[in-house]
Amino acid sequence: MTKEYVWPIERGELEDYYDMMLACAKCKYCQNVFPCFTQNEQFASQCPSGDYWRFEAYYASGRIEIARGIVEGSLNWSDKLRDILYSCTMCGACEENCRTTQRLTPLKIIRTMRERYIREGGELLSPHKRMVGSLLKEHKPYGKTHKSRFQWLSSDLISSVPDSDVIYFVGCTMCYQVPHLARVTTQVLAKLGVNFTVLGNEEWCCGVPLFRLGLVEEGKKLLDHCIKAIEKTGISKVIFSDPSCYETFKNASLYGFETPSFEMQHITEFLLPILKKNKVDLHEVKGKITYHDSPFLSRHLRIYEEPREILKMIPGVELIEMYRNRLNTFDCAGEITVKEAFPEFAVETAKKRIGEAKAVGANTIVCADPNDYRNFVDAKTDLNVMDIMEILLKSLNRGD
Amino acid sequence: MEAEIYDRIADIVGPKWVSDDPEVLIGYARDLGTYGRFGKERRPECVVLPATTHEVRNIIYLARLKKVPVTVYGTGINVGGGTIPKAGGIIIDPRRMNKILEIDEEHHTATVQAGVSIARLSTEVQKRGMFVVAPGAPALASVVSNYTQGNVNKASGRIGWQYNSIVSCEMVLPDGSVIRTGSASDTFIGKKFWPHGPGPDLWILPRYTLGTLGVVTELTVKCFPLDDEMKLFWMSFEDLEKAVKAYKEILHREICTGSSLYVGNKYHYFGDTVESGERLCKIHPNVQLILTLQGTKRRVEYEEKTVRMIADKYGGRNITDVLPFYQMYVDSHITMAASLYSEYTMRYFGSPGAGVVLFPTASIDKIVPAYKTFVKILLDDPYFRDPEGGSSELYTGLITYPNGLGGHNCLLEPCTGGWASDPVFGAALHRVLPKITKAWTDIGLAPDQKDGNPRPHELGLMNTYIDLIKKIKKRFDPDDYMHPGQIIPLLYK
Repeated sequence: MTKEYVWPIERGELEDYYDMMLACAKCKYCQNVFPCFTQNEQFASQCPSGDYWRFEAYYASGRIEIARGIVEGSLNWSDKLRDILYSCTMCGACEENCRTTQRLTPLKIIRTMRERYIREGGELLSPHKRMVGSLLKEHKPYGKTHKSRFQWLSSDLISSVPDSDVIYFVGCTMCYQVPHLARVTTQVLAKLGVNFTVLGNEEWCCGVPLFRLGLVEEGKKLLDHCIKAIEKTGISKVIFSDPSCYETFKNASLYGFETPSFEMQHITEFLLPILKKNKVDLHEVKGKITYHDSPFLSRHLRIYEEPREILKMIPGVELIEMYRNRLNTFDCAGEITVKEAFPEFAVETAKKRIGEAKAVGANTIVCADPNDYRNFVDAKTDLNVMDIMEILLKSLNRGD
Repeated sequence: MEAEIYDRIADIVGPKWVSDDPEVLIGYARDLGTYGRFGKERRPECVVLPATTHEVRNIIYLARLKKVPVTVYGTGINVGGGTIPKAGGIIIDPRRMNKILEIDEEHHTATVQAGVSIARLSTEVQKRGMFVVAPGAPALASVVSNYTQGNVNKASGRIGWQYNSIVSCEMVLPDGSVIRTGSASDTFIGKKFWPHGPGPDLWILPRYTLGTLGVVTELTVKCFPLDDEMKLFWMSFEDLEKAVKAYKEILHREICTGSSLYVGNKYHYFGDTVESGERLCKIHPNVQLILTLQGTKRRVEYEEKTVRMIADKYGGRNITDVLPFYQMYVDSHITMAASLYSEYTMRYFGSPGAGVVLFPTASIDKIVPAYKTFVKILLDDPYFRDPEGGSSELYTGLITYPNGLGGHNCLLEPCTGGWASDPVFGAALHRVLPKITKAWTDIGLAPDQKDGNPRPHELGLMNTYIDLIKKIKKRFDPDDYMHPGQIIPLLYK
């Protein structure tokens, strides 16, 4: 390949992406499942915000035009533009498909546009303002106190720092929104004999909402604290439940940090070899189960087989794939900033995904992202919604 | 846009489905016709997303009353600015009209609304052992747009011209009336299987008019049965003349449902990813003859034997057995019969410098001098011969394939390296294109504007066809508010 044909991927300013904006051929591959992987015409769309609002501006191809308008000076920041900008769930479907078709990076353009919006004094949506206020004051995005972060934790489950092999970075959504899942995860770890600990009061938000909102400098402060807190323990491995936290740590170098010295894994990546190696006795859990790939886990982190392998190890589980799976997954819009600012959109999108699960005949939808779990529960479905740790714990205990 | 008109549109479709926000309108301002710096954005004044034919009809009626231009968006995929307005006004985005209304397995037809993409329809008909022909179409193009507008000279080697697959359509005319063509016009039949009549044959009415004669809201197309067996055969040559001879023999023997002759950068087309395309580039032969063998098992066996014999006769290397067949290649042959355009080749849809020159020929022999002339003109140009400017390994592109009418189409592309936004590159492209046009006209090649048959020394759209559209448009749309200026220059305003 000649160098002219390789787009420089990492660019700084919105202007640096201008030639990409002009090179968008409007092929619409950012809007749908990659055509040859389309399995059912009713479940072929892939952009949650476009699917909900329907106007071109809510798809990557439209947002690229908005970015062009900003660069050319023909479009000014406005409340409407802000809504369009922050309704993107950042699931990365557009980037994934465009990588093969046009070789552009729409998600990076959207990210850069958000940073530019903030830098030029753009006003955040009210829920985002509240979130940022809470993050800056108490290092967490939700309206509870930092002290209550680990209220759910049974201290007998965790080891002391010197005796621990791994740190479990629980994450804000787990701690504040779905603490029962955090408890379940610690129970699974304990049952499998993992010597783990948590950061306790030193666990702050990793900064992911701030990075996604475009407040990079503020996000860096939080991430910096978290990295230092982990390194201070001397423990060389960190596991995450929330793919968004994991991704933030993994991409620390993008924000000017040195690559963290500790090893990082998602909880499913971490547990799979343990389950295999120890030949753990798993009890039967009956169910027609479908696994929902969180886009942050599958597309952003390329982890999609590990959760499936865990589910397949559980006796009685009939694993059914949805039409959109793995790298072609459909985001349920549970992403933290979108969920806070556009709750109706988030729930409606979750309902669409649940509809797909029902269409393939599943009676349980399992996810491995607490944000998605929370969103599915909010959709008030008659389908069982479970986190992968819940089903694993059930199987570890005594099954059905 | 006047507030009164906007409010009335909102009454028709509901306020949620109409917008005149500049942030929304800018999303409808460009298509591939304005790729890079080759054209300026053209924004509408209002975007509306109707859900039914009735709503489309009311919008059109209102637009006529208020003399507001209307442009139809389709899925927004067009190489010539066909989905963006020339005179502001309303854009109708049929995204909400996205239902596959019927797949009739008995009559082998499928009926879709205007917002259904080829990919979605293909997925469902293939489940039923059929396929729809979509040569030269990106999979996310609208079925309605692609069949009625399509690409002027793309034909499937097996099925023929794509528009021949249109069975019937429902169309809102510029006066707000709705017509249905073919058997769809007879409400007592209930099935759509016959394109012509009763009454005046309006089957071809929307063809190549890009919404200037109305808005197609539903379309019924033919589906074709999938074959018992399909094999692919890939032959490589170092010499274009020998490849052409082998190609001629294959065509004369009437074997292979799909056949394409590719030269130059088209190797990329065969890889599923950018990387696999590049790998293929590294081991590329100069010329490739790519064949699809389809039919009964016995037929495919016979064709394969014959093709291998022809390869030996003209010194072609059979590389079928040594190169991996990428999924793209298989998919495109199933659904497109001859064309290799598919979702994977979309990266060339807008790749830097992929200016396309369409010069179909009825005589395959002319491909050789045409190709040589083409390369010479590029090498004579200071930009294209400069390894720092253009990209010497990527500048040659040629495809030829049967046009379904006994002739062949040849497509040459001056594909070069260069940034889309680079004005030097744009200038170089504009420098060589007239030279190529003249050289090819001199050797007897002229653009096809009528079913693939060349019209000597004539460039641009077929005059007679344009004249016909003009006459119909004067009757249907005397005020010229349906996509004004797109097919026909702004004549009536």
